[in-house]
Amino acid sequence: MNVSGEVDLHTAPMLRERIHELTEQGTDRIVLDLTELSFMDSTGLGVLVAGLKRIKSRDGELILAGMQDPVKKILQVTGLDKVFDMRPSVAEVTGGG
Amino acid sequence: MEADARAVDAGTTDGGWHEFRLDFAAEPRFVSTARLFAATLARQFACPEERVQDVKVAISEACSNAIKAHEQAGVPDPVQVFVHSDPGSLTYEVVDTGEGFEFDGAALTLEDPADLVEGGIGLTLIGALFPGFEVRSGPGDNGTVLRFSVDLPD
Repeated sequence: MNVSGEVDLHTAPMLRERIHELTEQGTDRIVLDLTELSFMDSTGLGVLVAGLKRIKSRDGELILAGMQDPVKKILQVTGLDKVFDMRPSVAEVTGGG
Repeated sequence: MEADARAVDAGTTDGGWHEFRLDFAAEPRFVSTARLFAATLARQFACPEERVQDVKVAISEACSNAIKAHEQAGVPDPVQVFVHSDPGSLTYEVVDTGEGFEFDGAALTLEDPADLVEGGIGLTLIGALFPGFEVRSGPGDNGTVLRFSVDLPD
């Protein structure tokens, strides 16, 4: 799933909905393509953490791919980079390219 | 999507003292407006790009908290962002007139990062990026002022 633009108080609910839909569908692996995500704050972090908990409770995995540096920094500063499975790109995940 | 604020004439810390202000209705869609305002000024005063990104995060957190405080208190007032420049630094203040809160500085360390406390994680993030930040608030008090500064290059 592609996440682009900025995730904050205004746009986070839409991301929450989309992740919720995917987990409800019983997907056992969600890959979030973050290459076009230019900004995220703690509202976005909260949505990602909630999504991770939900998918883990179904024995699934959530992968964050292609994170830009400013977004990566926010995860590092909060220690969440140790909690999430982060990959440099979607290609790394699917093994293609 | 964010406009490219690099088109703004940047690069002179002209040694002046300047004041800027943005008032906006306490609605989530205007957090991005506040970010753009704050980032444009940071670039205009020659902040390194990484610090510009830090400013965007801090403003986003502070304004989000302010909007939620206004919604909770049901006040119709705008949220205000004041920016003050002096030769050495750029100071941002986010002012709201919503419900105040108890600020426990000790809660700034994240024990379990997955244990995100509503409203609290934002302050933790601001503190990590701007260790000298200040908050004036208190439960039931009239509003909150959150202030942080970024050093300007010589």
